[in-house]
Amino acid sequence: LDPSRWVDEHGDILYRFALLRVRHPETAEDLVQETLVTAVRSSGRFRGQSSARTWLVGILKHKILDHYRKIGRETPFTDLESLRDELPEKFADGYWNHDRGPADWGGRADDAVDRREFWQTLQNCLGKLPPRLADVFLLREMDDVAGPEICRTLQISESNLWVMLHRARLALRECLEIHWFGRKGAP
Amino acid sequence: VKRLRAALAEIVFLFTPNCRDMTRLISEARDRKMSLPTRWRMDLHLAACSFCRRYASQLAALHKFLGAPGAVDHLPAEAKLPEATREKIRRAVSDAG
Repeated sequence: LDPSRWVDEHGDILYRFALLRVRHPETAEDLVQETLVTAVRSSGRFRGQSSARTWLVGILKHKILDHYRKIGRETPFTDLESLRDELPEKFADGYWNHDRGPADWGGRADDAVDRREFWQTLQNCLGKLPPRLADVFLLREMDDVAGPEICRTLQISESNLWVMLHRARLALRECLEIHWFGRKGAP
Repeated sequence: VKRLRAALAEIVFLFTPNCRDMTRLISEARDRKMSLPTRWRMDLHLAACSFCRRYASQLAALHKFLGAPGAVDHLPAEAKLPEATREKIRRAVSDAG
């Protein structure tokens, strides 16, 4: 491990990840700094089973969770108001509208060449979600934080969390289908 | 055969959640253990409904993409740490080390 090279080797990656999560450049910069300082202090615990980057990203994920914990203490994290619309046009009497059910995605997102471009679309789609929905969605899907822990950390009820995750997934899937998998709205 | 399958699906749908409820349940099942009766009714619906099967597999694909260890390496590259911040962090790291 060579901490003097961390900023140059991993700084931008950590910064982009932090920025995706907290959306505020100065906060993201602070998180990167806290991450690297914590990493230096605990470098004795780095065992080398994973790459240095994976280890640093793991520390950053903890810092991000701490950041949300502070927000959760100050303001209610629950957001059930800003995305009430659960895509009514997709369903007829509760069943998928046959022209508008989920399209076949094939295997496109598995293709390494497409990954960066997919991320770009995904990032745009995440940007369209209400911020709190995007936050809990990424905690769950990217950081693999369990539901009960998210609830404790952000001080939200479990039933509210399930609703928020559901709305985030429904809206995100729809956005990706339109903008990445090329189905432009109604056929 | 097609008509028979459609008729079977109609019968299945009488006893299972509708697709709108299924999207909610499919999401929830990713995050917590569902009760056995709910799980059975979901499986029955999924067996009869290709749209809901797709929905479930697309949520799984999204998770796989986002949860992959190297996922962060592919984030769009335009954002960069400002040079002044780099310098500040370098100093903080060397002070802490």
